[in-house]
Amino acid sequence: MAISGDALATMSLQEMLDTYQPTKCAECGVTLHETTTGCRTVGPKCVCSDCYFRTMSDGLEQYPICIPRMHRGG
Amino acid sequence: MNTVFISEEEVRGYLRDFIARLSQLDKGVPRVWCPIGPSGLRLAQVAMQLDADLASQTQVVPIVFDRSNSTVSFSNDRCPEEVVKGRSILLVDGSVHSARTISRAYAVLESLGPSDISSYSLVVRSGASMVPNFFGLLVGDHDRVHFLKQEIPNNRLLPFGRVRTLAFEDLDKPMVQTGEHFIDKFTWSDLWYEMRADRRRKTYLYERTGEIQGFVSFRVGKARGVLVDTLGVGRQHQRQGIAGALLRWVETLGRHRRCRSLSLWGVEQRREWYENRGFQARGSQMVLDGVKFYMMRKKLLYSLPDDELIC
Repeated sequence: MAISGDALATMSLQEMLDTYQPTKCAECGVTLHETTTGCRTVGPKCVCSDCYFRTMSDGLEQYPICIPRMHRGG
Repeated sequence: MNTVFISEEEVRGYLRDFIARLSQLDKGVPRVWCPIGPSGLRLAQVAMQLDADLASQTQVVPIVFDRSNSTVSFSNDRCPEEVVKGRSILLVDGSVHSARTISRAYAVLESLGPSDISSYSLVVRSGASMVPNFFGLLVGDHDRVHFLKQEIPNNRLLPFGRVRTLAFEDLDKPMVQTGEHFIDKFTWSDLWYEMRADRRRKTYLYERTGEIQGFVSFRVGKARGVLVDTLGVGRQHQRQGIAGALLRWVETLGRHRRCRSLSLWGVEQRREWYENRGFQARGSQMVLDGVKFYMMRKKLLYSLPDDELIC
């Protein structure tokens, strides 16, 4: 539960990550971090930014963003 | 939006100063450190490596933040009450954004009866609701800071083709046919005219092998919001990630322009789909050609409170 400062000083990066059991992307499994992978939500799931935009893309294309507007061109 | 890089030597410099100031507290020196997340733990590790006396006298209790339900707990789910009670505690974070996480951690620790709580963060954003007792760098809400990283992420759209602005030479080219009649009646001249009439309006195309395959038209608003009013991809080029890449570019540009929100008009049957992806219906509705539209809006900065959505 508590780690000594001496033990922390020599701990490997993997051991530190294992301490946290960090949140992973529900799509690709990458460990999530705001400034590197991004951390977004799709419903109840946390996903990285790459997966967020990739999975959102098909939906945007199926229902494109638009509203009826005036047309000037021929 | 500024990107700040803190070198490893600069990180050590900030921590050396912090350790020196801690030692001046004499009897009040926190001997239990609670680093938040991997970045907090990494900072604590560097501090222990810098000062052997500190390392030999300090106990470390890592704090875990679960992003899926925004809860704070301790590693291995073991409550450290016997370690914390009556002791002077130091909360350590790498970067404080909204301060929701560090505030929750503070409240949890306070409930365990420490004698006192101090806090340190290497980076603090100006919109943070809690200010640590000690911090290294103060940055703007839109700024990004990288430190102690093996890899620094590049911005990324699609690996091939190009995203570019609509040009006069495009006006005679065939329009993208999306299958959505609201969009397919447009011409490039319509969008060109809008860009010329309103300098806040931009149209970007995705082009590959000489063919325009998709486009996005948006406006950067007066109240620092981005409004996307048209995004479409040609039917034969769909399911290749083009729409997602165009929207990603709009978000990136919006953050660079210090926008706080992104808005779009979503049709009624897609409202829940947008809400599942971070958008909220913000009041405005309209019915056009028998179709009901909602103004959907989402924060470009996740650290903003919900009631700060503006456009």
